[in-house]
Amino acid sequence: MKRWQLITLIVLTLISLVSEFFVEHDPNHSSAWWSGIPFFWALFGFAGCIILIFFAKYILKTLVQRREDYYE
Amino acid sequence: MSSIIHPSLLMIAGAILLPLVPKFFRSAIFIITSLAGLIILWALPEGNYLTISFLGNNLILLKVDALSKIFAAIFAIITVMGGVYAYHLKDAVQQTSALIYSASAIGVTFAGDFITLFIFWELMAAASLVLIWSKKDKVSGKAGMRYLIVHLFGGSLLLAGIILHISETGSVLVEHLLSKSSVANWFIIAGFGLNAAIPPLNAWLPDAYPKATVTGAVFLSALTTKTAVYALARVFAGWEVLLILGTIMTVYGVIYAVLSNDIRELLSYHIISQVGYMVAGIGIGTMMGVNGSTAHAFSHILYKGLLFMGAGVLIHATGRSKLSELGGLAKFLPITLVLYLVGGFSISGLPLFNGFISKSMVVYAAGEIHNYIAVILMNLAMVGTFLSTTLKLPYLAWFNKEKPDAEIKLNPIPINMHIGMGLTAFLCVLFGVAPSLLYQYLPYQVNYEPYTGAHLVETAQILLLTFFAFWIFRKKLAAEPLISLDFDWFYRRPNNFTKRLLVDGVLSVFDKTDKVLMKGVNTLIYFGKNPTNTVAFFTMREQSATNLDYDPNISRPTTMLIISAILLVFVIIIAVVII
Repeated sequence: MKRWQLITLIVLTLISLVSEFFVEHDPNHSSAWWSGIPFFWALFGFAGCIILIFFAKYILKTLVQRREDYYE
Repeated sequence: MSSIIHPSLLMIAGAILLPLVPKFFRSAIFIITSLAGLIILWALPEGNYLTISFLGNNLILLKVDALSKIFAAIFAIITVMGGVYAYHLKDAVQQTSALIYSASAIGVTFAGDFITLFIFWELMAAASLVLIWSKKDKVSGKAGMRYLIVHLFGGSLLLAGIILHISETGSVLVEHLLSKSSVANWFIIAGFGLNAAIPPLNAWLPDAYPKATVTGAVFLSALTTKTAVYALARVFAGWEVLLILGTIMTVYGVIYAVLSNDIRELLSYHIISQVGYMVAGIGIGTMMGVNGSTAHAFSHILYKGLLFMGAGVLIHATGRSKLSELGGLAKFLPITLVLYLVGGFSISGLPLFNGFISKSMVVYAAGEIHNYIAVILMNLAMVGTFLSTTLKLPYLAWFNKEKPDAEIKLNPIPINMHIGMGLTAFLCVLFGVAPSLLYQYLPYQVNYEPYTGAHLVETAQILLLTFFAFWIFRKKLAAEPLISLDFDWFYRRPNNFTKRLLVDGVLSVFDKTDKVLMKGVNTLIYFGKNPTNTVAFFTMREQSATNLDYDPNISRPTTMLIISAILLVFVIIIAVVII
């Protein structure tokens, strides 16, 4: 990744984090357990991505992945 | 109402005509027919048309309302787009079956009764099978056979359900079914669910779609699962089991997609994931839920078609479909990359793309009924979707290496492939920027605004941080040449055992019997060929008179013995007569 690309992404991330305090929140989620946690969706995106990668690549892989000639 | 034309029948007529015209015009006929189908169905006023009497039931071939119309319209639109993408194709078999496939998908959506629905349902399975078999290699042949068997099974479930339903209620009409205690309804929902690839009835999809032809996969990705979504929305809206299964599907698909090596298998698992949103929305059953599912089916068909077109260009150009064998194509296929990314951004729900305006309706509907588990899992599926389709696949296919492997020879890309992708990408952006173009045609009135501050912030946070996590751990995502076992294990793995029991066992019995019989016959022949053998058998074990060149020394003793025996009998007879 080039430097300017990285900087753009970081700036965008900062904007999305800061603007959380200036927008009206989804009324449907006001009673949800995450509604009080700041930057919840950012943490969710980061952690969720890591969990998916590691769950798939380390746990599911040993369970379901086989050689390509498995069925032959 | 004799002036009403059934769009499916028109398209089937076009499909029959297509192989009869010269090669040069066939692709044009394909596009014109599907475009005509689109125009005709869009002009249809709401109501029931073309009713015929059959075995004492009134069949409604054409039942037009908002729900059926929007589904039929998107089926016709993707057929036009697929027609442009496949314009270079010189294969009347594929073109005809793609048209019939699309016509029958439209026929299902307009079917007012279960009998018409079932006929088009089965026609769809048969026509789609041709698109898999048209690849004409051994792998596709086998996968197509499995596809056929699974869909025949699904069709049987549906037919059993329909027959039970008719005998229970006496009604053939396709209408909202409520009774959860009726066995018929569970058969019907299972038949629909198989085509919607709801686990555990999902494995046929990632098994078959990656083995279809490049152009055929575009139609496959659009039609079968979404007709099932339509049927579920029509008949089973509000069934909670669909909410549960649909939510599981969203995550199920993305986890498998992380492991996928074949690009179209990866995209196939994302069909399962995306259809999960639609199934869940139908399970919620509120106006927002059904609207969301309908809108998402509409968006999904466009961007998934686009993604399959992009994958198809990669395969067409390189002759390879595995991420572990691709890479470094950025300089060689830049237009394909850009158009593919439009599809990727759409499926991931980036603002200004059409996934953003439809997927969020389903998530919003889940929030409305305060089902927060569903909200969390659907958002997790969004993370996984962005990760696999938009980050991992393009990264491993277009970047990752400086240039493609030396042994890859790039085939030229027909311009119409990129035009088809471009038109579809344009629609993805159009509906993303102007969602009201779609919202006004949804089955219920829409009170939903996708572009709110909260929604934008939430989406931006999720996707940006997903990107950073991907970038840090991208090496972990390296594709490996492995396959993933799915529920197809249950019918593919026992294949060897069943074969051993039912085929090999029987064959070995035949084989043994055959050997024993032949041995007996050979022995008889051995003795029959030359009667002296019979004597030789007892006197000279090693040598057979038959198998040697004539040697009087060998035959002499036995011949002497036989002649002596005859003379002896002769002497005895004479002696008896004289005495």
